[in-house]
Amino acid sequence: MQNYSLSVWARCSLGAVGLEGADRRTATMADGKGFTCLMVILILGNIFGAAAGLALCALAIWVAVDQFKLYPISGVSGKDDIFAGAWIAIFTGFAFFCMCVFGILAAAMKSRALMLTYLILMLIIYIFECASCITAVTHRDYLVGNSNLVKKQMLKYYAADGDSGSQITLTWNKVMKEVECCGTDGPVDWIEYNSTFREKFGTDYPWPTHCCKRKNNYEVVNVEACKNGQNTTMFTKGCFNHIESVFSRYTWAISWYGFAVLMFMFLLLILAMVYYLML
Amino acid sequence: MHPLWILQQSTSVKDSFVSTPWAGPWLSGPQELTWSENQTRQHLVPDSRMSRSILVIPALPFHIMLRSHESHLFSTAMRTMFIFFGMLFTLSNAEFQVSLLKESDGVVTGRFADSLLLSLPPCALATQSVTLEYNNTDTNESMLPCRFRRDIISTIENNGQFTTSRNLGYQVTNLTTGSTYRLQYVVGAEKSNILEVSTRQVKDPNQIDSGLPARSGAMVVITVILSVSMFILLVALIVTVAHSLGGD
Repeated sequence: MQNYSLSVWARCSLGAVGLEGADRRTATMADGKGFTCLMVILILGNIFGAAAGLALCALAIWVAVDQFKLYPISGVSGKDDIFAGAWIAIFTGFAFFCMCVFGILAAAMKSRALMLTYLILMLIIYIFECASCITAVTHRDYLVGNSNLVKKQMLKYYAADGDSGSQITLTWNKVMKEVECCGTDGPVDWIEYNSTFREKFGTDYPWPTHCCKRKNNYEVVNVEACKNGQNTTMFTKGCFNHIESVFSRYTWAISWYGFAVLMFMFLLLILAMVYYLML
Repeated sequence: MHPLWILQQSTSVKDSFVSTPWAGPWLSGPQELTWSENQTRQHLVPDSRMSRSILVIPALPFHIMLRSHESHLFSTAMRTMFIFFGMLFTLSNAEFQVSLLKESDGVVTGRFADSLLLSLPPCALATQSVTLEYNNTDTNESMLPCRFRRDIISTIENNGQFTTSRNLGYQVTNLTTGSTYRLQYVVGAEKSNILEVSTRQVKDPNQIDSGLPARSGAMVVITVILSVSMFILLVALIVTVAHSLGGD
């Protein structure tokens, strides 16, 4: 049933371009050894491409899930296209998988119409995947090229009211507690700049108490020592290294792996076009 | 002749530790320590028995010679003499150092927006009362606060067996942001050097430039190569379709 509907569509499309009733061009090259070889290469390439596309889909799901829970830092700043790229890659990865399976079918059946369909659809998916890679890597540069944007956002939104403020505050508290760090480049950020935190709570606490070391029962080890800035009772490294490494990891997953898949698909499509011309 | 040597490298240039003579039957009597300074010889003969002890000898340019006698080596009188000579040298350098606390002292920073962390006067002046004089160089108002115990910064380390408490420094509070201060300790007759520091000027976070810092190499490579490949594929597809249609 499926074959019948496909061939009807093929006849319709051929009719649309004014070839109604014309015979198919006799395949002068269709019986050569090179032709068979090309078909085998195409089928194997499509099998590999299907696997690669499925892996892209899975990797993009991992990025979209955001196990490090750092989405608010990019969301509040408006530069969250790393995650938009991940969502696009979920769909294009799965679409590559489906199209490559279809490509195996088209190559095996030696059908021009199917191959043309395959080529056009693959090109559309290719363009979407390119968009995903480029936008993910560009927004990563905006977000974590240097520590300024993250620092400004921390100073402005930490302890602020509103939805953005609460999201940023929760994210930073989590990062400072788990990574054992304070501030963007260090605790000095809190005393060097004015901030919403300082305006709200005054200068008695130079930095949030999440910068202080805590015991296992979550009690601060020594609040006074932490306020004075003693190294042994508070965290002195900055959090930016961790934030930058997380966003870079997400971006390399989407953009570099997507790039690799696209380069492979590029070669595959060129071969498919040659095969189509030989059909 | 008994060998005499410096026991350990003293951390101050003022004192050195000299070995006591080896125990032996000829050392049961009193010993005397002779040293000469600038070619004048002085020696002390102990008059009471003392147990073996480490002697602190002030200043290295002494020539030291140890001579044994019948009784034990050192006496309280000798010890007082040595301390007296030691004090002479200490008082000759009457100015001690005060500085801001740095990262190597165990704090994040010594300069806050409204307070400063200073090092304490040396331990030799302990138990004396200290005054800190500081004035704001802009407004020229002088402050002479008393030394409050609670502004001392101390670390307390407890490892389960014993607790050690160490005084790190002194925090001068209630200062104005971004102004320069001159600070000096005064301990009785001694003064420290005058330390001129300024508190931090708090900056506006809106001044931080959070625009695009630079385009990374990865971004350029990916964008260029993908754009070119997209273009090539589009052109190739058009050519293929045109060729196949034209060929038909």
